[in-house]
Amino acid sequence: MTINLHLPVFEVDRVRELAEGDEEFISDLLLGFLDDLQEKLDTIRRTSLQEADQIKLLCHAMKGACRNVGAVRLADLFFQLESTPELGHELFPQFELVVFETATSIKATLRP
Amino acid sequence: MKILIAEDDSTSRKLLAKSLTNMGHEVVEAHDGEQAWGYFKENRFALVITDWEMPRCTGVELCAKIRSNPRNHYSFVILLTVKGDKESLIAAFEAGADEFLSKPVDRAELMARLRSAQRVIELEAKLRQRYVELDNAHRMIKKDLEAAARIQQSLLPNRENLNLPFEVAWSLLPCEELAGDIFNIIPLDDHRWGIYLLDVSGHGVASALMSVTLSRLLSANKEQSILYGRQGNSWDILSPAQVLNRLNDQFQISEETGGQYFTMVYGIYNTKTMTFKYSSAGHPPLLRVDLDGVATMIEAHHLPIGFLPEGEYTDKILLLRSGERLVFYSDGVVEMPNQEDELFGQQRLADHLQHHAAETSEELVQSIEKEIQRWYGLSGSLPDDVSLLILRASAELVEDIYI
Repeated sequence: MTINLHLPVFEVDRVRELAEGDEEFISDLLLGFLDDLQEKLDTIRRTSLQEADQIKLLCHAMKGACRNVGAVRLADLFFQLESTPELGHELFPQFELVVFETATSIKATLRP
Repeated sequence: MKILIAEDDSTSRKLLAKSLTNMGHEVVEAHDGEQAWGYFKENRFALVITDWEMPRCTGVELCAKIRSNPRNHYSFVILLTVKGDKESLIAAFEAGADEFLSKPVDRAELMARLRSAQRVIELEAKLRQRYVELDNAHRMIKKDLEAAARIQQSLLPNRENLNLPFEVAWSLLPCEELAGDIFNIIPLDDHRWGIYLLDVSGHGVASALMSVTLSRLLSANKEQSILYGRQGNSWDILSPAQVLNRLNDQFQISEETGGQYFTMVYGIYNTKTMTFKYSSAGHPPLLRVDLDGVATMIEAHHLPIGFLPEGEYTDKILLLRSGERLVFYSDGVVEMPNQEDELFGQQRLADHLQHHAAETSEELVQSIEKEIQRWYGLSGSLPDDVSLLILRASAELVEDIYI
């Protein structure tokens, strides 16, 4: 289980195209995504590794959300965790790192 | 278009909703399948875009619910998916999904899917409109046919108006709403009764129209009836052969009559002399049932009305004994096939009449009707009109005279 460094951290082009350049909407959407991301990660952390199905479900949803907003590297991590939920604790430090990268990249995009 | 989005991930849902709203669509968002189903029941959506995996109710389950709830418009369903395996796609199609859209959603692909959905929705709306028009037309035709059938029934003998001095019973089973068969009993004077049974070729509306026309010509209304001939200020009752010859002059097969012709038997029953003077035009022979119940065919060899300009129909006379029966019927009775394509036939009819000789004419008509339906063996409409009329003479006379 590794961070795929060849994948981009964040790509905003597709979101921008779908939102037809509405920067205010994009800003609300991405900040909302970051909030939601934090919340879901906390839930995953709190979830016992025995509840693999619950972890899988959360990861599946977050994988889709990350792909949708263009958080490609993080989406890949969720994909890995969805496939092997029993490795959850092993992956958490890597999650912290990629989440930080993603949040920084998103905020940089949103900065005027 | 009014579009329902069912997606549990709020980021994906908002982004998709934004994109669709920007394209000019009206969008309603549901955060899971169950909420989407609630919205769907209350609104009219042209398009539903649903995620596959959702809590409470999955996209495929939502799709199945939508399809099991037929409405008066079609809702196109697109499933959002990253699933590409054959089994999943088959399951989605079987649940009623129309199209798939890959996640993450790409604007160009989304627009292509919407165009395809729009085409299908428009086609479906046109089809539904056509169906409604056809259904309305069908209802109207059915209503007209039912009204026509009631009119046709009213042209059959009316027991209450006739006050018949002899036992008679009848039955008409049309194979469609309307029959090409028709019969009637007409009081010609105080002791003579005109009785006819005719069968116009084919069946359905065209045949029924002709049978109705004929029944008007064969009425007691002297001014329009073909049964009478004017002699100065009085009216003569024409003999059956004269009537058939006149009909033959008027109803020659032509393109105008749609190539139709008819068979007919017409007779005048005289209650004073107990005679039955009749003429036949290609009609199945009358059956005479004697007092022992033995049925004999009364042969008639003339051609149907309309076949040849010179019909030359002739009269015959029967002297009836009290209690003897005359049985009029259309070819629908004797040519009724069973499931092995064997026809019911005259002999089977004659046997039935003999075995049921003790029955009243009314009971006899009903038992023959039942036997014909049993012989045919299928429920629903019969392949041809079936008409029957049974007369029972009711005074004493001695022998037959043939002219």
